[in-house]
Amino acid sequence: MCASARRRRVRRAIKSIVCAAIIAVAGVACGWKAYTDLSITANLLRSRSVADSNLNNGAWQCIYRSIRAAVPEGSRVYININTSDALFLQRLTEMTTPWAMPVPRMSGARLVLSISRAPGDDYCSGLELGVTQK
Amino acid sequence: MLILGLALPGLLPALAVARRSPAVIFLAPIIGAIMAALAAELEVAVSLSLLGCYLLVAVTVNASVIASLVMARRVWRRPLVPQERFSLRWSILTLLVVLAALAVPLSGLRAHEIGWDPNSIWLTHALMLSGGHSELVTAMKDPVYHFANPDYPPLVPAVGALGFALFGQGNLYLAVAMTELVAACALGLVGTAIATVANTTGRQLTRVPAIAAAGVICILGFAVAGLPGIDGYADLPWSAAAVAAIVFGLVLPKSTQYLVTAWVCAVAASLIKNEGLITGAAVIVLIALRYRPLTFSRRRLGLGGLGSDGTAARLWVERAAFIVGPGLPCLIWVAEVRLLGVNDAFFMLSTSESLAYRAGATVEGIAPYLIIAPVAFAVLILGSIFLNRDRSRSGLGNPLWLWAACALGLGAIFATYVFGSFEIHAWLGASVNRVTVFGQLVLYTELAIWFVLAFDNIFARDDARQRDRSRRPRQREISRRQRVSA
Repeated sequence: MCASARRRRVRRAIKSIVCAAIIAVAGVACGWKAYTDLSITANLLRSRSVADSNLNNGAWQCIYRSIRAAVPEGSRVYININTSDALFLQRLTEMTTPWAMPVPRMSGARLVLSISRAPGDDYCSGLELGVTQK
Repeated sequence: MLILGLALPGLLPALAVARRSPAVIFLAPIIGAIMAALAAELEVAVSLSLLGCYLLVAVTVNASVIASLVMARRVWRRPLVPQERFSLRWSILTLLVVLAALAVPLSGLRAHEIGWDPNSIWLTHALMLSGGHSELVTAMKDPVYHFANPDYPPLVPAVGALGFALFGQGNLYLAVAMTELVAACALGLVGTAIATVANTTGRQLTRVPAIAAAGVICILGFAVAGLPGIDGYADLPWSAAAVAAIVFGLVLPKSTQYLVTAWVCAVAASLIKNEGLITGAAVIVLIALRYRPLTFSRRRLGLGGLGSDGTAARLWVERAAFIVGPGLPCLIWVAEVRLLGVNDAFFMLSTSESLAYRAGATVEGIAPYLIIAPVAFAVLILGSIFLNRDRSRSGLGNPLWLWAACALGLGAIFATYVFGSFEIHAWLGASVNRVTVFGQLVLYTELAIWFVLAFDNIFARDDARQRDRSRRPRQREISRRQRVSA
């Protein structure tokens, strides 16, 4: 066999080895990463996790309905929650939107809204909306 | 039902763009989502409800498509180039595999998990949009809503608000589910784009690993995003849309179909989040440079010779149109937000941390999430040395386009952290796992593309060997006759 044919064979063999390496590396990397999604999904669908999510969502949906029942539409309201309690402050502002208009200062509001944890599962699964006239 | 409400108005434009490609199924809801975002932009400007604006946008877009189909029949009836032709059987198989792959992570929707930002930002925005023009504009300017980043682009909340308009606000989780469906459609586009790489090589056998890679990428997108990928965060939708734009516009061979699909994906990315806005804009510019490359004429270099100023001017006009056209929706949003006086929260305050300190902390924070980068780089080097000719023969774009898009997107995120005003370690801790979704998804997509090309090369070896074997008996017969005649 002449030298050029031998060199071509060697080059083709090296190319095949490189292709096999690329397939192996890419296949393992992508396949392993995709596999990790299965454990994420499985964790998410544990019955305790689902129950907790439903309880939490249900509580805020209840607050949402309570605001619409207790606050006249279009009212200017002040959310009376300490800024350090970011969760309640942001959630109550969110649930008020767009039914009522939250204002940054109490002086500009007609009603004051607050939220507190109620004992047991009364009201909104342990959350209680407070609505007071200013 | 949810996805139908989004997909139906976008179906005709998707068919006009992608024709028989399996991408049509995923492109239609993305176009519908873009229409919802445009409706939100209209709602900011005029005194109409979101649903009214959406109907107006949907009717206008579909009427324009019908008008162009009627008036430019010759353009729409143009024969498809080989890379754009899809056999029905392979299209259906690709679709089934991608849909089955997406169903796995989407089963997590049954958990009804809603993350912090999806509540504070996206649900709040969706409720703002549901209130109508005056409530929306008032809320956007209200300092009470600073925590909700009201300057964020409107696609995700618009899709959620559309769900509320159609099905009521009895279940707020609806908006989160719509966000996840948009993410799934964007990943479906990435998957179908990877499967399309096999179309360019022309070998039937290559389609099998390509379709497998498409399915894996769809699941991998959700894996990279982790829990924020399924509980309503917008990082996965914009990242997947941007990656789809990169593959269609910078990797697949140049064609009108892929160009327009890439634009749709880039527009979607730019209308989802601020990071998506910058990355989408960068991808649009790169696509313009690929389709209308810069040329340096001898005349411009002062070396004399031929050159036509008219041709050069026309090219620059086309480049500008390729950038401004698809960039218009996000430019409109930016203009509206600035006119309302709404500013982003990331650069408002000054910080005592030095830029060098913030840069070092940012690199340390991002590096663990881009651990796949050296692997992808090594595959790039090997692929460029041994498979470059095969890649060029298939008409695929230079891999450096993809890496440039990745670098620009990550660069924008790096710059935001370095020049932003929040305390750097807390900021990284709260967000770095999400902002790196784009970079990770691009790198894994790059691996998937080389995977398909490597397989194609192996099948090419088999084809060549089979051709040699079938030729050998004939060569033996020729040699025997020559000996006999001698």
